[in-house]
Amino acid sequence: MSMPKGQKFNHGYSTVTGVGLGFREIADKMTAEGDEMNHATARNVLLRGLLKVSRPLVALHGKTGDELDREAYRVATDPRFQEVMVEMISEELRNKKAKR
Amino acid sequence: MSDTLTGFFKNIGNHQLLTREQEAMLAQRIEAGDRYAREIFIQSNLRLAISIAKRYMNKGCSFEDLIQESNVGLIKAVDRFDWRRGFKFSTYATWWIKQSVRRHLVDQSCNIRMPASANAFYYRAKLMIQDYTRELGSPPSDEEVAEFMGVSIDRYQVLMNTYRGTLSLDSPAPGSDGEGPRLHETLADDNQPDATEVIDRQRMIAIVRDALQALSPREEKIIRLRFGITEDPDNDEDFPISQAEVAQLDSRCGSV
Repeated sequence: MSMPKGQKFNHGYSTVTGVGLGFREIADKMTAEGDEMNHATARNVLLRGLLKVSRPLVALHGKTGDELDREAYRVATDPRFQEVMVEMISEELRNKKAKR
Repeated sequence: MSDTLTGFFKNIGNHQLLTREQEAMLAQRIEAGDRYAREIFIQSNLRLAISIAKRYMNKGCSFEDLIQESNVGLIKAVDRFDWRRGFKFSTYATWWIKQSVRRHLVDQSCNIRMPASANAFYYRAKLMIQDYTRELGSPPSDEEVAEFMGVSIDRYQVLMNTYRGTLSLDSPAPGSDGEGPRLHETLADDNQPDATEVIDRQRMIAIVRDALQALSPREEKIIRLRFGITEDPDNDEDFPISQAEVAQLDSRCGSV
């Protein structure tokens, strides 16, 4: 699915340059570890994870049904949301490590 | 009223008002350098100064100060009075006394001192508005006053806004008595986040944390790989693959 019109212009892409891996690299790494997948599956799994987070947030604003699905998808693919997610996950991991 | 002021009022009652001829005679003596004549001239007109000062009472200055300033204006008028023109001294002195008192009022009532020309502009505009309202029954628009005063509307608005006055943050808040909250206690702090926003944010963080806990190990791993999240941001040894593996994957992807 292509990016919504004006999305890149307004917010740019959420890039992984220099830090994370591309979907093909992720698929290769996962396959090598025994979890066979192609790049599209890697993307789908990532999106499913992001949707798990965006859905309750969107539901907080009273959205339900199809509208909730559409809005949750829009938020999950928004680079700004992904940036915040990365920060929060990093913080969670830091907290976990501190507790250990 | 203070004792000093009561004594002052009693004292000025002892001085006779001057006739036109007496004024001319005293003015000639002042011209010749007679300091005593000057003193008599001033003292005989103190009642005029006080009557003008009374008109400006309750405008933010003490009555004593207003009398002081009106006397300064009176002294200026005495020193500049030209008896040859044939006018009564009071006609000439009234303008000087008013000017002195008004200037003092503006200097005292505004924390920001405005130039004399701006003060004059303000009073002329106020006078024009009063006259216009009296004659036509409704106040003029800003555009009309600006046109009458010969300035642009922007300049007019800036000048008039400057005279709106200032308030102390320690003064009582509007609608409260003297014992109530101070003004600064009722003003919103724009730098502080809105309380409802803070609560919403905390709620959202809690939801995101819960959702993150619900991620499957597979999803968590792919998110971490995709965004390069390590447990310790300063240490990339924990990153799921080594730098060598990244280089190897890079070369393989490049060859596809």
